Amino acid sequence: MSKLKPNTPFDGYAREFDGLNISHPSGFEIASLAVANGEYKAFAKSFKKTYGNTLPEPGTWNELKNGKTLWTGQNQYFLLQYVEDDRLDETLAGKFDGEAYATLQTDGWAALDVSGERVHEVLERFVPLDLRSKEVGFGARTTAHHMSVIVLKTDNDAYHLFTPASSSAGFLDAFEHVIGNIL
Amino acid sequence: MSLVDNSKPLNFSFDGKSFKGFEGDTLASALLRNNVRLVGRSFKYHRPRGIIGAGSEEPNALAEIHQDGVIEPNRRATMIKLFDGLAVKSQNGSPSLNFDILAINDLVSPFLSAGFYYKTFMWPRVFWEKVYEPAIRRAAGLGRLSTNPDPDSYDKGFLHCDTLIIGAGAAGLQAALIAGRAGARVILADEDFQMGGRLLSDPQLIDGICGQGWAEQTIAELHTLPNVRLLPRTTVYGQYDHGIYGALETRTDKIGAPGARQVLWRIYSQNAILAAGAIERPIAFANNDRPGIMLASAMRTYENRFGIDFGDYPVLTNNNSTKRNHAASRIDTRDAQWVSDTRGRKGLNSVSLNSGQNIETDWLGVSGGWNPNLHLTCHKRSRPKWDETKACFVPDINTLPENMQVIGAANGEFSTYEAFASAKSACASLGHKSGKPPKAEDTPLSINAFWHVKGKKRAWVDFQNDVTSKDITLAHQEGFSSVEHVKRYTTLGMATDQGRTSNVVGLAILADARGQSIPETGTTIFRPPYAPVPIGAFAGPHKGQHFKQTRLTPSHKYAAEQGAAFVETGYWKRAQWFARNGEQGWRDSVDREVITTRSSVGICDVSTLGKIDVQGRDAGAFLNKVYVNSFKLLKPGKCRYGLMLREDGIAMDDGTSARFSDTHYVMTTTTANAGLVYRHLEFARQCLFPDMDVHLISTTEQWAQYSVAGPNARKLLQKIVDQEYDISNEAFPYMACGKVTVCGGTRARLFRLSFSGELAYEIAVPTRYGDALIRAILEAGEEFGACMYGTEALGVMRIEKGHAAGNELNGTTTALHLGLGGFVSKKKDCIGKVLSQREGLVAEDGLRLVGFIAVDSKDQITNGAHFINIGDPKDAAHDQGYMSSVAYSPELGHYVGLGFIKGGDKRKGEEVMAVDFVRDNHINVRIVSPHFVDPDGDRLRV
Repeated sequence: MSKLKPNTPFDGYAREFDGLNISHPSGFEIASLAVANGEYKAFAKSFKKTYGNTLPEPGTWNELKNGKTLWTGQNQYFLLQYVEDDRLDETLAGKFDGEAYATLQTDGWAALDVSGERVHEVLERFVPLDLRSKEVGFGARTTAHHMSVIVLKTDNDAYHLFTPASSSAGFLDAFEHVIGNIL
Repeated sequence: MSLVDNSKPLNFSFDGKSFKGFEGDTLASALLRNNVRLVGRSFKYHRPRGIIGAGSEEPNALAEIHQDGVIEPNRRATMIKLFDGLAVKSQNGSPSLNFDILAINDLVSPFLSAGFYYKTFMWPRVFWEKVYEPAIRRAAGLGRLSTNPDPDSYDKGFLHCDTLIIGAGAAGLQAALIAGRAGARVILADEDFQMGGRLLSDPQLIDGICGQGWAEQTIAELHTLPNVRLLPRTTVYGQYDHGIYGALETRTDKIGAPGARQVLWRIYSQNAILAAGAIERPIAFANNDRPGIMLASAMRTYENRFGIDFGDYPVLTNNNSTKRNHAASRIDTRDAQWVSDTRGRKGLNSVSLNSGQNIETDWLGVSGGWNPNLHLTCHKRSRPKWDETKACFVPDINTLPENMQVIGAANGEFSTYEAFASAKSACASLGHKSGKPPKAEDTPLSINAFWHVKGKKRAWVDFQNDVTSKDITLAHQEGFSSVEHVKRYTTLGMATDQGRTSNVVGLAILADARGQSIPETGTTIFRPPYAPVPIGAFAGPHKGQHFKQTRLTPSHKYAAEQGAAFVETGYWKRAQWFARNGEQGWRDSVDREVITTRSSVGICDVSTLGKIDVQGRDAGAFLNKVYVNSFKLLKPGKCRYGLMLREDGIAMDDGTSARFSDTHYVMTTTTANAGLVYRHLEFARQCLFPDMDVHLISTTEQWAQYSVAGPNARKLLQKIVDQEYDISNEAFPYMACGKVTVCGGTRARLFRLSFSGELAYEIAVPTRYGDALIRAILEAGEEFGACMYGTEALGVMRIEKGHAAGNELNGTTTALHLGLGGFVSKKKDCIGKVLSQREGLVAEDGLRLVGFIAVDSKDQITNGAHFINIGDPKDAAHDQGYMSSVAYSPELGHYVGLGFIKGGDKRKGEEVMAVDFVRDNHINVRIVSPHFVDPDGDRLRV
């Protein structure tokens, strides 16, 4: 059999509006890391040694070597790495054996980068959070209309959005509908 | 100085007649500019009505906006910003505004007094719904609903601020300026499209400049402050918990305009300052509802802000020190003068005074005092208090909602200087200091309460619901003396204006009738919304395809290419069947899919099943707690079916869990219960077993998973799974699981599971490869005649096999009912185990899941039928159970059913009636084993 070709939601998507740019980031993998009971200190140490930064506090994400990490729950993190490795979970399981449990999450999410001077004007009609007042480094899971979304503030007027892959078509449609009503 | 732009004319029509207004006009001001006084007919008596107010308190001037066959009813003319091409029609005129045949109601008004509908139309009873109600509704309805779809777009949004200031009059503007200059994040919302409140209407000097100029200057500065957001045309309609306010922003009145017509904002505010001003109220004297009689403050608005000329002889009647403006004659009740009656058929011609004097006039301004706009203070059950000096209710500072302050006229501080001073004080309490307030008029309100003129003629109190002072006294005479009873009996204050101009007058009349003071009589409080909010705005963008999310499976594109019919299962769209040329209906397709699967191989997308990674040292022990059967000792590389109970012992969900390592299980759930089960597990993990080392994460979307079922399943998969993996029956037996690679190295998980009862596997790859894999599988399956099968065929095969599914796990059944009683481990405890043993749930003759076939195989059995013993009456008292799932079995050539019947496991071979009460028929059925196909499971294990 010939090799399977991957495809992901939003592949190649990019649009420019008046004051807002949207594009689809690619070339990364996401894995969740759940810290084993009683192993937080050991894991935090291993993590810093591996990625050069500490684990993020609740409601934040941290820049890492070749990626980012986001606090997603008590003793749980999402690790985003700019690698082409659909076995990232297995790689991580090897690195943090006994300290944390890794699960591949890349395929569960569809990603968009949104930025521009009017980004808040649009997002305030889509996401209930007070994004204007958040610092760069803010990250949270919330809702956009009826749908789930993870929001990372990457610059004063720039965000990564991650939404569940299965409903990503509807997410984009709803987002463009909001944009169309404003821009 | 008028604020309309005479250089920008706008054309509009009212009841089909063309008029001209100007930029800056409201529909109301434009109608007055064109000398239109008659704008509507009253609710009950169909009396001619004109414009009374100049804002959202307007009770009379309700109109329909028309555009391309779409109608928006019940819009206040005072709140419609004039635009070119506006087409408006009046309401409640039958057949027309000028000639309303239902004006006859006015002649029979003695029969239509308060509560008349409770006393009449009592018989004949059959007339009520067929004659009386339609006639009353036709006569009394306000506006018509459009029968066309709403073409407009609505948005919802979320705003956050330190201070929300509601109302942009003198007080609100000043508060915004102070807080804005101090750096606070401020939102200033006002329902008018032009901010400034009474400053736009009442000429006065502020710091030496005119009020309009001061407002303009202040707004200009606020625009320069990045931390201040101005929301004109935005009505804050409700206050809710945790500092949340609802607000409706109207961006255009034009129907079908591009962009969102309205935006429903949810405003999260640390503090709120209510500066919503006050509304003038009328005095109830005979025939006080004629077109041309207007609130005095509204007349000043139309004169000063809109430049309307009321001629030389308007009359003003008042009970307070309200501004006089251009009124030529002033009838002041404080001087023992009042208007006792008016004349004029479709508009005011003259007024009669208590002295007997008649004054000819087309316009009468009325000022019965002021009602502070304190509605938002009441939304969380605070009650206002009566201020005898000001003759109005004012907010009670002791019961105000947390973090809310009320300033200016909304707090009973009626002078402009008081408004500025209260803004300063409120801002200071928030830590924003400011200098001296601007210099402005500071005349205290002088008022002698004067509510109504007693007499035999009708005097209107609630203009929108046609409630008169006589209605209120009649209600009292008939024993409805509580404010709440009077309100409901007369409908006082229950119209869309929430009684803004009528409530206090009505209360005063009731107090008079009861011989009490107003505070002794009580008050009513206000609930959201402050002003009507269109249903479309509440729905926002969530309509049509945006009503709910839609989840697509990894094979969706391929399935659509194959002609799939889709069905909604939860939020998912799943392929239901795949029609092929020549097939006459869905049954043809489903039968073919079942036959192909049972004879060769079929493929079904099962990605929608919930998948939960359960990891940790205690993962096995945790699964032992949530499943009735044991998982702790399951060997890695094996799967097991599991049944999960709710805490009350009722079956919650079922599925398989596979063990990949000592610390890693993958649980599957049903599609419908994926979220519910995840929540249940998290509750158990966090609250019941917090010491366990167990971690959960959903992987439903991570893996594309396909069932490959049928005698040729293995042969097909051997072409997909890479050669180094042995998936023979010996190496990979029934209920095995493992990690493999497919198609030359793509990672995959393989499970030897079967829902169909055939030799079957489920193969999972990261979702990114899902589309490619389904195409590869079907390509590889061509030599076997492989086909896709949908949820219908899936359902047929599971019924043939006797697997319980959602119809059986229906929230009333236990493991015992499902025939899985022996499945419950006696060696361990689990959630729901104890309560599943309750006496009523373990009765020997309780319901048991069994199979059913028709005694006459030509009969069609139906789902939902109830079982009755043959010879017994067909009624609920003799109910033996019910049919839960039915399918036509192409394998067996007749219908088969699953169902629950009392003591079913001991009644196999017995015949009973299956009575379909819905379709009113019955057939005889025989109780059989639920396993219709391959009861010994031989096919699974080959």
